[in-house]
Amino acid sequence: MKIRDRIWFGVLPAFLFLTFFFLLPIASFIRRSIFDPDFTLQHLLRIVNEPVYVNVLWITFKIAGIVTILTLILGYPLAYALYKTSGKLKWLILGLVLLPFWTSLLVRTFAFMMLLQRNGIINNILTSLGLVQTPLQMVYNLTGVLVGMTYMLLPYMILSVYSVMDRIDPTIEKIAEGLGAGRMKAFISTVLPLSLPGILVGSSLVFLLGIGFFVTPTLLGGRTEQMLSMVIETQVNELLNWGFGASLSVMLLAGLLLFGAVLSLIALLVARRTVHAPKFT
Amino acid sequence: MQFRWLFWLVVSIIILFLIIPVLIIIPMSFGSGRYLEFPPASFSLQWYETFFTSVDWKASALVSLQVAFFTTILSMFLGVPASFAIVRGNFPFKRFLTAFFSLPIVFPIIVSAVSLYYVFAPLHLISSRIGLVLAHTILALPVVILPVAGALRRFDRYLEWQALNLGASRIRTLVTVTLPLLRPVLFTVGLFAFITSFDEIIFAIFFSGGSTVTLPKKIWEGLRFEIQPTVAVVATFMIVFSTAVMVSAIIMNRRFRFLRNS
Repeated sequence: MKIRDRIWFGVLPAFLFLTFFFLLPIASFIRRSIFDPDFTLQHLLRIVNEPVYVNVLWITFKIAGIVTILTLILGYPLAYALYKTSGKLKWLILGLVLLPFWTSLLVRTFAFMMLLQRNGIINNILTSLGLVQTPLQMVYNLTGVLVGMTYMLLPYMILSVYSVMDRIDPTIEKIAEGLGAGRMKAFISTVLPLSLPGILVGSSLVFLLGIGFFVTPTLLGGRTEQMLSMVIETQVNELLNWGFGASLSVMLLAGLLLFGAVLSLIALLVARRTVHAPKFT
Repeated sequence: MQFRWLFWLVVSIIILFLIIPVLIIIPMSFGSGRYLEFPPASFSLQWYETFFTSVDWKASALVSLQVAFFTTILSMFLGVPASFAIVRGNFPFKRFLTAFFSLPIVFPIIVSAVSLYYVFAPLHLISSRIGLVLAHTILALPVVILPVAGALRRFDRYLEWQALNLGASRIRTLVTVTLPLLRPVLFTVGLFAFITSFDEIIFAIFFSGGSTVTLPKKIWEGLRFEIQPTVAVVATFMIVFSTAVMVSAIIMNRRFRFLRNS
């Protein structure tokens, strides 16, 4: 069949496009971190030597970590709700979860700037109910960044956990209850351990995406919430420090690879110990 | 059993948390005060008026539409043949290529943007529409290739086989049988590619300049240092637009479901 052998040509334009406009520029830019234009380690060493940048790394991972935990706390119940419902209600919940997902990140971040500001609706409600004396500072600080990023990354967690939960037999909890377990025990001993791979996938995804976040922390954070991507942007866009910006990017990529590897390892170890319950119904 | 209603209460609150931010923008855009407030004290179209009489805002809307349009065309032209090649071809590295084409969305966009900026700057592609289209196509390619490849994998080739059997040439079969049956997927990925480009902000921050300012870039500028109320109007438009796109994509796919092999 001649055409089957020739059809791979179709991949060439896209492949060449990505190679020239994606791979090569990235490689070329990364190269700048140690060849500026001669070989130098000054840019890489600067990160380690100047405490400001070590701090930025720490803040980036810390924020991503907290956001991961928050999305897990909020997202798991929602994934479980999707697991337990069916038909129209399931589609309704799914639609409502995905609706914000389709709205531009920038627009959603703007919505939180409005919600969290000093005379925003949340503060208005809190002060009129007398719960607080003065309006809370919830934006342009860590709170704003955490709330905003949790919001943006929540759908990723929900979908990851649900995609694994969906494969769990829907009657398994009833079976456990039939064997004498209470409602809570039934859940903890059946669905929870079986959904662990989903928790890992979701956490990995949220954490890795969170490390690279730029728009949300810039608009909702203050001067002490500088994440790695923001510093890269400043170095390149405002200061034109290509070499240093490149080395910071290398740091970001290294962090991603490192955490990606660690999380994959954990997932591998968990997978070995988990028995997948086949669907009986 | 008390857990039951508590659980659903918590779930409802979380769902509200997901929905409300997007919803409050719409009434806010109709406010009549000097600043954006929710709920608005009274309603007016003052900021809508500001938007429609503003040369800057309308110009950036136009830029966004143009860039998104050409991005969609370019990414479809590059992506659809690639999907066919990946699914129906028989060559080494096929699996690698699927992963390769998903790379742009997995890779931190800030690094992609900065790298492209680094390469484009000496080529004077920084403040140009062409530069933006090329940049956005990078992000739009996975959006086109992955769903089309998915649809092709589930495609019932029996119909194609029948057409060939009846004497149609391969090209004729492609045009009269395959592509029409793929129409809902193609339409959907086209819309997705369009939205990806229209909403895109990070590349826009680096590649805008002069007369090439996209709508998200203008919103960004209007939020960065102080909040311009007109942003609420633009945001409302974008919310309505994205929702309409998503709804039409869903409807399109449901109507054609019966034609495809299950």
